[in-house]
Amino acid sequence: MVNRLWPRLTLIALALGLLLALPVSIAIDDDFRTPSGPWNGRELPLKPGSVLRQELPVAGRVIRVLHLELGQLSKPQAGRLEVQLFRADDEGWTKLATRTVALHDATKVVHKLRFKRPLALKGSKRMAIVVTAPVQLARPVPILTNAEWQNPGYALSVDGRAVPGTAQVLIGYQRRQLHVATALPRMWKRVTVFLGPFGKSLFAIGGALVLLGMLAMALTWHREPRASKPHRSDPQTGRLS
Amino acid sequence: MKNDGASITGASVQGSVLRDLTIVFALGLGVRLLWAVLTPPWTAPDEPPHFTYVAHLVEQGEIPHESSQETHPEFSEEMLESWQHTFFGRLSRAGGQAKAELAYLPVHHDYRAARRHNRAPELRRTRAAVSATAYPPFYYLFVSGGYSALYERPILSRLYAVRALSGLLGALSACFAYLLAYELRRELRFGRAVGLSMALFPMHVFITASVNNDAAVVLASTILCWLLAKVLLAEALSARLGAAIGMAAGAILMTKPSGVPVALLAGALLLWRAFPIRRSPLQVHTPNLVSLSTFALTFLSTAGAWNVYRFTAHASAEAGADTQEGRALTQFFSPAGHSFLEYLQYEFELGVGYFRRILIGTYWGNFGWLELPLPRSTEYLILASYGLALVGLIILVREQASERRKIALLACLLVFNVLFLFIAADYAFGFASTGAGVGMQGRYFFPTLSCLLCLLCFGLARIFARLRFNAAILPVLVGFVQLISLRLMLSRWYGVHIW
Repeated sequence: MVNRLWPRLTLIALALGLLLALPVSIAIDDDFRTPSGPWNGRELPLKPGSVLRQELPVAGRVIRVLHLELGQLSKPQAGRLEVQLFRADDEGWTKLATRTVALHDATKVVHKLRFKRPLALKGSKRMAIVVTAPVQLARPVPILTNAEWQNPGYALSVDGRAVPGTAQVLIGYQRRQLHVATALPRMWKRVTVFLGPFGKSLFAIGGALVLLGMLAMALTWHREPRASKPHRSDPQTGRLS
Repeated sequence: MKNDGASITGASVQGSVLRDLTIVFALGLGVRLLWAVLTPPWTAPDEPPHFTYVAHLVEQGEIPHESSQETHPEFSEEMLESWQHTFFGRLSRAGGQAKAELAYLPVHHDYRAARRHNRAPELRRTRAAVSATAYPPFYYLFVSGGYSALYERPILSRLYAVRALSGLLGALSACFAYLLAYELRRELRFGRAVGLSMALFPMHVFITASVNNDAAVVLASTILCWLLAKVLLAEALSARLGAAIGMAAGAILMTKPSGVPVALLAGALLLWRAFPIRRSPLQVHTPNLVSLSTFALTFLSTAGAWNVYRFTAHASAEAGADTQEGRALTQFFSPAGHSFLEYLQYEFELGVGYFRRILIGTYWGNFGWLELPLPRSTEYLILASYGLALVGLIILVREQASERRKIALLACLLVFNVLFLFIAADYAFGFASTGAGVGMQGRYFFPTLSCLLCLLCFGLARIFARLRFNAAILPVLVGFVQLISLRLMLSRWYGVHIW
């Protein structure tokens, strides 16, 4: 009995070790996503040669990803939109990055622009997303906006003229990269935001039940006997042969 | 491992079964308690109306019902304020928007107001229970114990207490799923596999860990499925078995209508056993007739009691053709509504994707207000396992005549449940009058989840018969999908991304 117990306990310990070593990233700032209404948003046609500018407050320290939503293109076209990010500082606007968005896939609506080297905002309070449609484009490109939503600090304009609403974007801020073992205190803090003492005790009881149940299962649900070929039964009587 | 066959004494088998049930229950309850506290408040389908029902029972001491005299609001002031504190409507699409406003719960926010939110009893009162008003009270009476126990505590503590009791019912369902599989195959490994699968089934865990009467109807239906397995395999039935079936069937009708197909089949099976159509069609098996009689008696006394109360105490608003059942029957037979043929055409035009979304997507896992689906690759894995299990079942029924009746029972329960709900709910309640369905969801078919899990387990075990742990394939698959679901939930609601 003892001889069979140790291999199983070792396996359980290894499994736990693997779990604790898993990488985890935790949000440390609040990503911003433009709210959408019951409809899917209003399309703002960006003509060839036009420039759209969306200013918005900064809600984090380092940007890791930007999502830009376009409306449904009637058909694919050659050419790329230019997307630039700026941060505001005492001297004006400082460019952070430039990316391009291809328009050859008419079905693609959400364009995700990842920044391999995350963009540090260095204490700036405001940022701007500038989308430029090159003059060579054959047709206007529809930029998705929420025409009804415009909070203080958010300003949308096309070719310098103010436009009501806010472009449909998502700004993803950098996350803390850890392993489960070292991330446990942060994870606990995040997932228990709504939990008072009673909720936390339910959490603890639930976790303990799962661990104990799995331990009991591993220790008592022994190896299955080797499955034999099923017996054939007499179709008339149903008796096994 | 000790052989599960005849060499084991009855006492040791019973001991093993009890131990297994304890483990299944512990795991099932543990997982549900975790989901109960991790699912953000109100972010489960129809949770606000169901919680309102519970609150109405405790705060106003009555079963909620529509009344023209009532001046209280639909949802209590306390709950509406809690929604603000907990970002309900901004974290999910329940507010009616195409996309949730928040990527996850804000990091930089003080949640103390949400945790401590607690209002005086007069601000907890409601007119009735919104969309849950018409439901029978069985489930709500049970879980109201949690609300009452934490009456003085903040609303979120009361919510978690009710969710915990709901999770208890879900965990018990897993135990009866174990018993169903064991009853049919008389091998511990199948009981363990099916019990564990039900304990970990992602969408079942999510729904039963929220405030939702699906927890009670699934428990009652699973009990009934187990009892029907006994009916199928017993030489002769007993009055005790008939009474148990009657009570289980009555309990279904006192929780939610989605379990009605199982109750109907129970009656049909008992009738068939009492009046077997053999060479002598008039032959009556007396013990089985006694069983049928006790079934009818207990069924009528349980379900009947509720309906008598409902039609007499709440007669002004709910009697006669104003009842949901009356409306459904009227619409079904009304020539002025949309015909059943039109409904079939409508369903056909919706295509395979619609049925995949209902029978796989929202059945296995689509969390929040049906806005957080499992990855498509996981759905393909599930579909592949369905295909393999079907092949395994076909081989099993061809090889073993003794298994045919069992597989037939499970398949009948499953198929009848699906067809009945599409016809009686989607068509009669919805399409017949409006020309559109009611919005079917996978959880409506949960009353026969145990049957599906048995079929999957038996089929997969047969197709992989040469593997030592062939019965463990299903719980491993379900456990894997459970981990995917947990990961998805933590990422979406809390911004915690594991791997």
